[in-house]
Amino acid sequence: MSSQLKIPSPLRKFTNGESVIDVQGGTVREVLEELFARYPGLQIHLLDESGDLRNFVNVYVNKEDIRHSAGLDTQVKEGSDIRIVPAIAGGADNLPELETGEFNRYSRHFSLPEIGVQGQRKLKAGKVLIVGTGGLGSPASLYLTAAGVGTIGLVDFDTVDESNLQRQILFGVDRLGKSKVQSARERLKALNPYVNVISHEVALSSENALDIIKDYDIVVDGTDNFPTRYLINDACVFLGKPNVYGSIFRFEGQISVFNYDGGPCYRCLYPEPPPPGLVPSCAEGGVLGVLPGIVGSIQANEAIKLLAEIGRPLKGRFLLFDALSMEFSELKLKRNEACAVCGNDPTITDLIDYQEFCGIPSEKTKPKYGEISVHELKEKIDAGETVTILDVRNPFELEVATIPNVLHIPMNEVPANLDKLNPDEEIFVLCRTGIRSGKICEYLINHNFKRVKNIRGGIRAWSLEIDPSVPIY
Amino acid sequence: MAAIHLKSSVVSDFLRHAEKEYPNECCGFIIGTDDTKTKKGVEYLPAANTKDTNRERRFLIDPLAYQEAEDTADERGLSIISIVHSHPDHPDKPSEFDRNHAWPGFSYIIVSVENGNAKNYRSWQLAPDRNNFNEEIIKIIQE
Repeated sequence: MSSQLKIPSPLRKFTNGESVIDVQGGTVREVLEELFARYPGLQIHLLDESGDLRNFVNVYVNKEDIRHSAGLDTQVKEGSDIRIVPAIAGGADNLPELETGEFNRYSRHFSLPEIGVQGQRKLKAGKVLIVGTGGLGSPASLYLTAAGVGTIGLVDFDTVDESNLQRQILFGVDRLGKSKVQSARERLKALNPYVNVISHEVALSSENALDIIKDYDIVVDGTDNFPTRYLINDACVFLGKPNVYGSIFRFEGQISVFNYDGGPCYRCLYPEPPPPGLVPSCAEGGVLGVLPGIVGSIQANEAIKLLAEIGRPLKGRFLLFDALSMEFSELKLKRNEACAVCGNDPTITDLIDYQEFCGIPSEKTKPKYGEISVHELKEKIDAGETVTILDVRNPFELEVATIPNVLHIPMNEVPANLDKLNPDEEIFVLCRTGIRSGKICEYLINHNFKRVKNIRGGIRAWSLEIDPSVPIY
Repeated sequence: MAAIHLKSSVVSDFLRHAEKEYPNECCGFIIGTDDTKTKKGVEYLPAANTKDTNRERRFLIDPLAYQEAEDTADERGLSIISIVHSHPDHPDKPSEFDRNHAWPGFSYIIVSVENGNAKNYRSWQLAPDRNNFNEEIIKIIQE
């Protein structure tokens, strides 16, 4: 059996100028082995260390790319026309030059061949948007800034609270009550003046998300709620931006890179959010302070890899971390072809109302229960009225802070203890901030309690506005 | 410094092509002779930039177009000696991306186009260790 192999112009110096060579092999692999036996200098130009074709080398058999058939095992028939064809590609770099003052700062990166000066310029060209400057956003923004990512955007609308300091390492006591985004910006500029830090002091919403995200290369999701998580995911899919996802709860963390290079998005994994209230927030469920430090740092690591185009990104992989057992585990994820946003036939093609999608009552759907302020409650107590205050917090919370004469039933024990409550009596429900108590109000109304009211702002508001001797936690 | 000799019509053809494709990158082949001592380019064959996106910063030549150009050259006893591409609003120096995709033996000619006008062009050869490009002298020869 004999067929002809055509050598491309740039490689003919290795074949003594021959452009066409007669070969005998029955597969492309055999043909190439034959070629290398005759012209040993060719192998390193065509195959990589693992024996696969280099990515800028194409082999065609009878005008068909072997990558579209059986690769190197593609059959070669008598008289076949085999060609080695260079993939010809290139283009201009758009990378900024490093300033003189930056060379010493990044010298440990330059020692890494995977990064070097060129990789550092890629980081400088990079634009990363960090949504949420809390537990995850703190380490992520600090490490990305230290690493020299050129532009960092920060989205948050909150102010610094003392209870944040247990894990949100961007902030100190001098920032209490101040804007998170402004405080973060000052901290990051102090860490690395070569980085451009852009403040977006807003709540990310369906109205502004596309406009904000479009100017960035990568989004780091450091949010703590489902509506924003879905909003970020969908916006990233629509704009074609990778979404470096992280989430934390109690002692467990999750990390993945969504919507990157054909990989799955968050909705491929979770098409719909859990029912509201099923998954407690960190405020309700608690979180180990160091946990977001680990998860947020992994997010920074992945963002840096994407920008520098190195390593193996956490695409199609869902990394789970358990801080108590100190174990990492990994789930394999695939893009869901039926995914509503990134699937083959998407049903969602524009941003939606994510509060509604996640079953959270928006302003349009008013809660069925009433509210009472701590001042109104205090007036009733002072006037000598008999008031029933149902405190639904956990027992340890009552040890930290309490107000007199409450009926204490922890939230999850309320359904089993309805007989302790009088459906015709006025009941004021208390928790730390008014969120859990609101859910219990809803529950009681649905179980024929008529006169239930939520104490707005919870015991926190009581401490701040009525009795400062009650500790804030 | 190594040298590449180009017919003046070759140069004017690729400069015109680079200006025509602005703000996108143009790409094409130069065919000619390479007798190991002297490279001589006699004709410029423009190619289509088949990148779907970001054609201002990237080019890609269809492998079938490469085969046609090589066949054209072979039929005339010539070979492909150079790949030309433009850098719109960027210098005529090879990028990191260019180096990662370069082949040994080809002369890579880069045309810098500013605001639609070809400003400068230089020729580069990949070093044998692939670590950098070496500049070549371009000598223009008359028809």
